[in-house]
Amino acid sequence: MALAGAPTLLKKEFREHGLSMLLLSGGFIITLLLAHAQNQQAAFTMSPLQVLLLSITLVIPLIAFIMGNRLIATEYLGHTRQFVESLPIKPLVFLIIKYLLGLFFVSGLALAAIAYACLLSDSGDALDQGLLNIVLVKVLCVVFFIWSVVFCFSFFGFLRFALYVMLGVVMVTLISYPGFDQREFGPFALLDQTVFAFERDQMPIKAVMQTLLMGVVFTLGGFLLPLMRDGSLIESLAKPVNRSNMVVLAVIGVGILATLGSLFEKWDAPEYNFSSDHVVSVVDPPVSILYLEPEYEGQSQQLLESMRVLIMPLQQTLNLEVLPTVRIALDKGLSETDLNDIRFGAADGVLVRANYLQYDSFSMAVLQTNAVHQLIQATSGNRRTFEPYHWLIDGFTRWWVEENLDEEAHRTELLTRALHSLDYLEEPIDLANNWQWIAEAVSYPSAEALAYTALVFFEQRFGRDAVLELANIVLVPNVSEDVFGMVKDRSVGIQSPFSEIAGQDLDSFFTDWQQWLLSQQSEPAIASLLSRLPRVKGIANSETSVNGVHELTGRYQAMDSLAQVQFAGFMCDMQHVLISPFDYEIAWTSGEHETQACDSSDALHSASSYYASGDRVFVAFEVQLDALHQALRVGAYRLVVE
Amino acid sequence: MIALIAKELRQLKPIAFLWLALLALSIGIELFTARIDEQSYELFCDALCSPGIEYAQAIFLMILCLVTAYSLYPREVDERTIDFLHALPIKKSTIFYGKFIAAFGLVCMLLLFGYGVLSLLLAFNPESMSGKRYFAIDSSLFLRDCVFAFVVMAHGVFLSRFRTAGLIIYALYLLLIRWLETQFDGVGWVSVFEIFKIAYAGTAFSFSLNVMAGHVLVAIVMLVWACRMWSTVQGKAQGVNKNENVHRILKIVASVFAFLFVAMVLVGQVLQNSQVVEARATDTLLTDHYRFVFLTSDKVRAKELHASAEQQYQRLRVLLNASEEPVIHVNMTSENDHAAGLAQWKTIKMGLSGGESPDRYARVLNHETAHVFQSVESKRGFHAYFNSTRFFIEGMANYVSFEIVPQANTRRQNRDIAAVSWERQNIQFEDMTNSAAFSNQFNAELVYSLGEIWSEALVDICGKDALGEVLRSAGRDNAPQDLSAMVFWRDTLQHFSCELELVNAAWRTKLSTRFDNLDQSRFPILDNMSAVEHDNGITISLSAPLASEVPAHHYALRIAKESKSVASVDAVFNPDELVVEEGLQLLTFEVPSALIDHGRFRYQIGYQIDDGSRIYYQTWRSGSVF
Repeated sequence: MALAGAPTLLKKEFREHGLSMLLLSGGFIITLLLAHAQNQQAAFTMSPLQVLLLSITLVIPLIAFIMGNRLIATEYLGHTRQFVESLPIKPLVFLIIKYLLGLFFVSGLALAAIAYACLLSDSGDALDQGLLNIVLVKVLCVVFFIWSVVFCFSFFGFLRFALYVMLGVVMVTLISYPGFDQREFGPFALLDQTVFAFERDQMPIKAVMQTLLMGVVFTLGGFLLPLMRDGSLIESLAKPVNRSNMVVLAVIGVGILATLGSLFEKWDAPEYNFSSDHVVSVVDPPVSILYLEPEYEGQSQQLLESMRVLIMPLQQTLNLEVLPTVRIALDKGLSETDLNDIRFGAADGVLVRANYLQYDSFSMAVLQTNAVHQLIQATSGNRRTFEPYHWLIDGFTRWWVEENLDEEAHRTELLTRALHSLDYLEEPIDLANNWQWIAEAVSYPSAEALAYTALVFFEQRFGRDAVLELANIVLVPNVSEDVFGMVKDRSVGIQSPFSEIAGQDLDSFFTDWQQWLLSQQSEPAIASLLSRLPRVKGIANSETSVNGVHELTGRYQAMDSLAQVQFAGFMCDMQHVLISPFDYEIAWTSGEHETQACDSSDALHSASSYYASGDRVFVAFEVQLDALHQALRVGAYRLVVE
Repeated sequence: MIALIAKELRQLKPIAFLWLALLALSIGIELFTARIDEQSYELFCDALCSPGIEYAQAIFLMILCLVTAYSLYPREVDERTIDFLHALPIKKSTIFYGKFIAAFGLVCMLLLFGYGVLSLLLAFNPESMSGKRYFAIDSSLFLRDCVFAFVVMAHGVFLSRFRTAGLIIYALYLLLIRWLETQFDGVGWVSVFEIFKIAYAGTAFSFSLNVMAGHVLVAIVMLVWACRMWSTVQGKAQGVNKNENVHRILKIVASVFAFLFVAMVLVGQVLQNSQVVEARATDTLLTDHYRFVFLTSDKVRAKELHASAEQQYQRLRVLLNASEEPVIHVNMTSENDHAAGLAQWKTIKMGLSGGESPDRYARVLNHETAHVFQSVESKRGFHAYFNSTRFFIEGMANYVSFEIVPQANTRRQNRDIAAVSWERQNIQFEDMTNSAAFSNQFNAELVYSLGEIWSEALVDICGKDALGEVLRSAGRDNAPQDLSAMVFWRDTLQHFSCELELVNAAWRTKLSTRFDNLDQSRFPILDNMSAVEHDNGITISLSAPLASEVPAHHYALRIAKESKSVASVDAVFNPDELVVEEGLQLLTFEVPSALIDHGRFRYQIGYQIDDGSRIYYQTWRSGSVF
């Protein structure tokens, strides 16, 4: 008579929960019908069995949760269990009835879902015995696991919600953990949508066993918990959560997160090395250059040597202990002349792509600057393009390259470019705290030229060692990707070390630098080059015609209204791109470029039907001329289309 | 009243703690994994305040509001404290509204706290551009969330009277919204999520006040009704009074009727859809590795495919140097308008009734068979990287299918379209490795032809086994998971000593050479778009240079379906009219108003370069109704 009293208990459960079970079944069926109706309308659906996944992963857990709540949690929290326990029925029978009732209920719903999917499948789906058996085993295993979890957690009283949240966090964390292959593990493998409704041959024995084992563990937990210490443990769990429980929960939560966090930290992305016969490299310092054809080896070898000469002293001077490999890849798809077409990205570490075969000395300096820039950025933990430092990393890397090359023509071009850009900026020019807007107004090459001239002035005034000391303190430290790294970095900042080294603050330094820069325009070479640069402003106009066609146009006008625009032979470029309502830096590669031979017509550039009323558009104008290696930006706007 | 609200707030403390714990968790993760002073409003808004509806955020808030609303009365009834409350010398409606105000106030306070914390975090960014603050938008978002919370809590407090049944009804309402979206172009104000929809005019934030007003009105009615219902309720142990009995019976009868009605409608629809195929007879043909199930009416085409299928299967296996030989079930009864074929694991679904050439069907079969090999050889390794690898999944399948069934003209057309798109739209390899962003910016179908050329470049650079090696490399034991797209591709190719940079360089050279050698006049640029609303919908007009001489039926206008809870295929229209005027072809398309949301839309205009070719689409642009 092991199950004596079971029928009575079963009746009591049906009396109490029958209506809810009916409603839940009704809701489940309607959900199923809706899902199938939607599945039939979907463009890329293949089998009615796919709908089962939605039921098993979303609806069945919800129903199991509600059933667990009604069958177990409410009874224990409401203390009605004591009345039932006063009956001459063993507590184990009481638990078995609840467990089996819940299990049969949710399994019944799952089986109904499978049956309905089978009913909807046509002969094309060929729902044979093999496929059906595999789907049945998968579904029933997962349902058993879900109900076991709910059964176990429901005894935890008010703590059960926290346990569900924790289980959810653990599952999400496991899925996102790089070293965990969810395709191979337990319920994740059984619910893998790639194979769920399509595997006809192989029963996933390992995943089935893992799922069953976990289900058994939770089931045992569910049975043991209320029987331990004659149910007193459950009694205490049924009490409302007090502060000490909260603290314990918080500690457990933090512990789980910390453990998982440490697991994450153990993962390292594989190191990337060029895999080709066409690579020249040196180990110390680590530099590697990929060229495409054997005929380019000579030029690549020269580039390698120049990079080695550049980086080795940099490593010693800045005490950079470990350097990431500097990789440069020849990319013949990029422009041979347009230096905006040197590509690099944060995800690639130190990898710069350029079509350097036809580069002259100045262009090569731009490429080298990019590589050194990426190198310092990587060693600092990708922190130095942050605004207070951005001017310094740009200026320093160019200064370092130019110091090695010692080419007067480069210096002249950079100073001229910096002087020209002054016309397009509002004073005072604060390179440290307004870098993003300066770079947008005059483009990155000109912003870099400004930063370079600031470093040249700094060197003239305070000496070479001061430049290196500033770089050492501000650019070199590695900043960890967390709040501690941020606080440590912000506590040093740039203002304080700068004042200590220079004996003046940044604002006054920038004022002095600007005066010095203006004084450089009297140098004959600079004055000559400056006179060849156009003093024009690009003007953007957005208008909608009477028939509703929107047009974005661009034209150029002289900065000095009395002067005629003189830019015959130059090429003019209008960049335009749709932007969000919020301001952020716009890359040169974004959006559309419309390039024309320059003239002073009213609508030299035109972009028809790209944008609509209410759109926000970034528009920039650049002029490319032979006298400079890189285009001059002569206007940048953020417009709202009316 | 104040004492009542204070008492309710005390009772709602656990919910506040739960919310705060989740907030603390998310902030904790942020603090330990990122430098918070580098977080910008643009990054933050990418997840929370992009134009349209952020469903994940709305559903999270909805759950919180429903949980809060459900905690107001049912527990009081279960624990019989409702009787004490009702025994107080306070009007029952005052108790009800006191409870509601407390709960709503709490949710608003939590929302305010959440936005406050986010604002504080964003304030750490000192940059002149990325660190810019948008208080007006913060405030608008907060107000919108409060309105949404009010509406959902009113629903919740009403439905809580029906306990579990109420939740089921709400779940059905949400499912109904999803279903309606698949049936129609939009569900309009019926969806409560419409409150969450936002739009921008420049930097100004806006939401639909009409929709909000409508939902608030309904919510107020439900609130009054809920007040009446809850005011008559007594504690559970007090027994069931006459009203309760009537209510209970009504609830059951209404539930049964509603259930039967909805079920009958749905069953009818589902069975109606199913009968289309079921009514027709099917046959089966077998080979060593295929099981073809096809409509008897397609027997001739099926037999043609059957005759060559096994030989082509073996060629494909050799091309991929595949270690396994999966047996594939091919369901050939499909009538899908959106895809010539589909493949999942070891199952293929395609149709034979479209009147296409035998070569076309053979190529579709080989394309889909390649997908099966991809899944098997990579041990489903591409699944987790679908967004990064889709161009290769489709491109490689296209490449091998063209190698086995050479449709030279189709291949040339596809490649021409790819080359023009690549050149004019400045498509980079990095763009292809983000399928979602690619579809948002370019024509999603380009991944087939751009990926096909990339696959050829891969074979050229890394050898004939490279295609299979990519699959096996991605599926190797201990292959690193969760890598960024570029790192994944470098790692996957590096594993068999293949250099990504070289492959990409070869890919670009192929595209560049093709672009330089093709007749660009076959690819006219269409512009001068205007959209005008009239009684029956919206007329969208465009013009193309006459020299292109593209027939009217070759043009296509694609309108993006956005802000939907279900991902759906964008709508495509052919022109109603083509007029030649002053050296231009003027095209007009009729578009249903339901597709155009608040007068603004995103569109792509395209055309076929030859009969039967894929459509060349220009980039996505935005338009507004004039």
